[in-house]
Amino acid sequence: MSAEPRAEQRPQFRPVPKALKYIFGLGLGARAVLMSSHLAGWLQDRLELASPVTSWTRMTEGLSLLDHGISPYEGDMFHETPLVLMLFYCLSKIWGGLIPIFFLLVDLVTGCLVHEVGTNVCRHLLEKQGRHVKSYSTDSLSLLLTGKQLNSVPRLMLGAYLLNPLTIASCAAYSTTGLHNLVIAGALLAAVQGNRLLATLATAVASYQCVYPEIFIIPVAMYIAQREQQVNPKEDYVTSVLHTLLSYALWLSSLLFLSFLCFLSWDFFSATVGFVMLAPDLTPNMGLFWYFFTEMFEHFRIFFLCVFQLNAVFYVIPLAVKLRDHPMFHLHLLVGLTAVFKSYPTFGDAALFLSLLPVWGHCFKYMRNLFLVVCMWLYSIVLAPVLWHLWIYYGSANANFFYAVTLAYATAQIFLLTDLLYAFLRREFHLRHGPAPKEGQGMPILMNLK
Amino acid sequence: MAAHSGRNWAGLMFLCLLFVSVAASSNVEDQVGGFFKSGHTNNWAVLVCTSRFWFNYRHIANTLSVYRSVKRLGIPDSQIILMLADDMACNPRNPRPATVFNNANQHINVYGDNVEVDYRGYEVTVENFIRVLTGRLPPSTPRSKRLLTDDRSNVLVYMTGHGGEGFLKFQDAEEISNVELADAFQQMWQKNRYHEILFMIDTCQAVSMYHKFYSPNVIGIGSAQVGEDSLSHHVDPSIGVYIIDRYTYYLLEFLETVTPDSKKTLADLFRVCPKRVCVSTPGVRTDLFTRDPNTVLITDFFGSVRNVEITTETITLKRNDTAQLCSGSSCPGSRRGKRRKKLAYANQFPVEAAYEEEVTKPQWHFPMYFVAALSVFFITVVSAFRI
Repeated sequence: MSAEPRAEQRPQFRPVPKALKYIFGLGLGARAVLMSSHLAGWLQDRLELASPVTSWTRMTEGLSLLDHGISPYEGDMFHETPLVLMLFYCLSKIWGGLIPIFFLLVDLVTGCLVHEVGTNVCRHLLEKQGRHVKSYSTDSLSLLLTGKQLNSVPRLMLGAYLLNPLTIASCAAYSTTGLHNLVIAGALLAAVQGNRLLATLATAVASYQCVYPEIFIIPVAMYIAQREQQVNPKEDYVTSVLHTLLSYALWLSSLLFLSFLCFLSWDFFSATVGFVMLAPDLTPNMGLFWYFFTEMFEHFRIFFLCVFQLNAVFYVIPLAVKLRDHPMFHLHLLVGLTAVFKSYPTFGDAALFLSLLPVWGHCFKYMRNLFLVVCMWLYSIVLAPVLWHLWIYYGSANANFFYAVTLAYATAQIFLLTDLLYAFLRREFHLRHGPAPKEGQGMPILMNLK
Repeated sequence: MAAHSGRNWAGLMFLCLLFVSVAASSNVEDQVGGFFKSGHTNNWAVLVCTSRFWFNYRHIANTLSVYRSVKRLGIPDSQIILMLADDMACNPRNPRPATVFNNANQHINVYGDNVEVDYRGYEVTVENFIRVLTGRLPPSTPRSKRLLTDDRSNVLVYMTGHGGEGFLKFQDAEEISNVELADAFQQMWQKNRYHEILFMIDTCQAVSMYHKFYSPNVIGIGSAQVGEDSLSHHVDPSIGVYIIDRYTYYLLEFLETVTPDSKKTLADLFRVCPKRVCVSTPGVRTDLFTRDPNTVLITDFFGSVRNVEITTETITLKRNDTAQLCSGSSCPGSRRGKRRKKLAYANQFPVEAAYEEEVTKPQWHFPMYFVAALSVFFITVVSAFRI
């Protein structure tokens, strides 16, 4: 999985393994140090890192319930999937010290997967550019991607994931967000490699684990269909998509059946998928649901629940229409969208999207709100624990303060997403019409994203 | 009430056995008459500790001592309203967590294994106390927080804390006056919410709290006269606070000698803690009480009486539990003269052994079909890799 063998095939990728070693060492070392410090217990209960689904406290509750022979899904305590529960049960039975090692490994593997996603997506971008270069304007040579430019991208992505303080804290908090990120990164890698069975398996695992990646299957299906059309132009788009959907459904149902076999009951479904969809737990978290639903009348609850959940998944449709030629970008945008709009987000979810940004670094010069986004992001990450403390412990703030920070956090992510989309589309426009296109009268055109 | 239906049958059988054993020897009514002199059919207790903070440990210990006695003598938790303004057992300053002792030598853990606190912490307010007594609670209040007494209930009201002349302090923030308390009892009387009340109070200048009572059938016992302070008994050097008050310490000592079938009367109760041990002079008010305290059993207030039904027919109980009706002398003589086994009340506190942790915890094992299905799944995945 390292960059060296690839280096022999593609001369434009220069191998720099030393930097990788430093990144791995520093990232894993920081995690290990934080895990063994006295902060680890404090981090485990932080609501920014551990949601009711991913919290390690609840995992230990579930494991001890299992020890007593009680199904962990009987109460409202435990909301992780049964296969993950089985995994941790094995680990805890073999040796208790395996747990921190496991979380370190999970982050390590996620970092490697993100690195591979970087190399594969860069290769895919270069290939696509090679295919479409004839339709580009002659003025836009400076905008074209080069291998040299993309050489550092995988390293940057690895560093952005492993050295991100959000993921370091998330790992030290033993939050299963790391596991969620692992399966999503696996889904991204399998998708870009284009093997239908593998891509649908990885997407099924991701959507089994965290419910929202179900929408990833649409760009994945489109991407696979396009690749098949490139190989064999007579291939029917619709049947390809249907095949992909069918294999995805088969994988997902086999995973659900395996979970059913754990306890021979479907309790887990209402405790995992039902919990995420119906969002009954309104403990304050970094999401947008809780504040709204605490003050809502019961009469309207179902309606607004539908609205909120639809908001989380609906964007796949217009993006699929607009970005039908760019399914990889669509997929990466969806990672960011689900991180904002899911019912119980944590910092780790957003950190994965941040680590996917370097591959679209060529769009950054067209982004207009970068400074604002960075400031809002820093503001919300720093102020979230502060205002929580002020609200809960001192009683001098109230829920509005904390929710304001949550809103700022969501707005920062949304601004980043929309800005990235705008920059991408603008770059595409400039590729086709040159970097400084003029109207008929020679006036420079103003670009607006409608 | 529903809580008494089981006790109905137990009491009925017990009484009928007694009936039969003395039927031939003496007049049934004379023997039985002693059971029904009290006029009440159920017992309730309202035990209130009004002080919080660690240095008021002794008030919690006082209340829990009375709670323990009352429960031991048979009043069930459903008929005890226990109001504790603070939690000493789980206080971080308690060096022996989950225990509250009334004695520095840790003779009795009054917290026990199954204490049920109905009003805790900041819920112990004057308003809640008066609402509990008068029954004017919001409809959403659960049953365990209600005083569901009727006109045949004997109620024991025990209060402890810091008091003064004519008032009792609640939680350092408010106080209840003796006028309010008297009015609350009058409301109870007008709504037929009690048959008799025994009001005990262990505070400084305690007797001032019952000076204003004007409702019938109320006895008041206070631990100190007006102008006197009710003192604490001793300090526990390992904790550093006074752990019990004098009056309640001797009260508990006395109550520990009382059993459910005890014949001790209220006159014995009034003699608990004379001035030479209590330093303060306990006071008693009996002018509102219609019966003679020398004839009133302690268990009329501190214990729980069984609900009884009088039947004119004598029932012989056979070994296989089929009942056969007979009346008077036609009953089989096999039971006459035969010394019956002495009947005893069941131990109200649960046996410790029942709470022992199971030695072998049931482990959960991976079911075979799951392992098989998992391996099939992995084989499929691996073959997908190869394809």
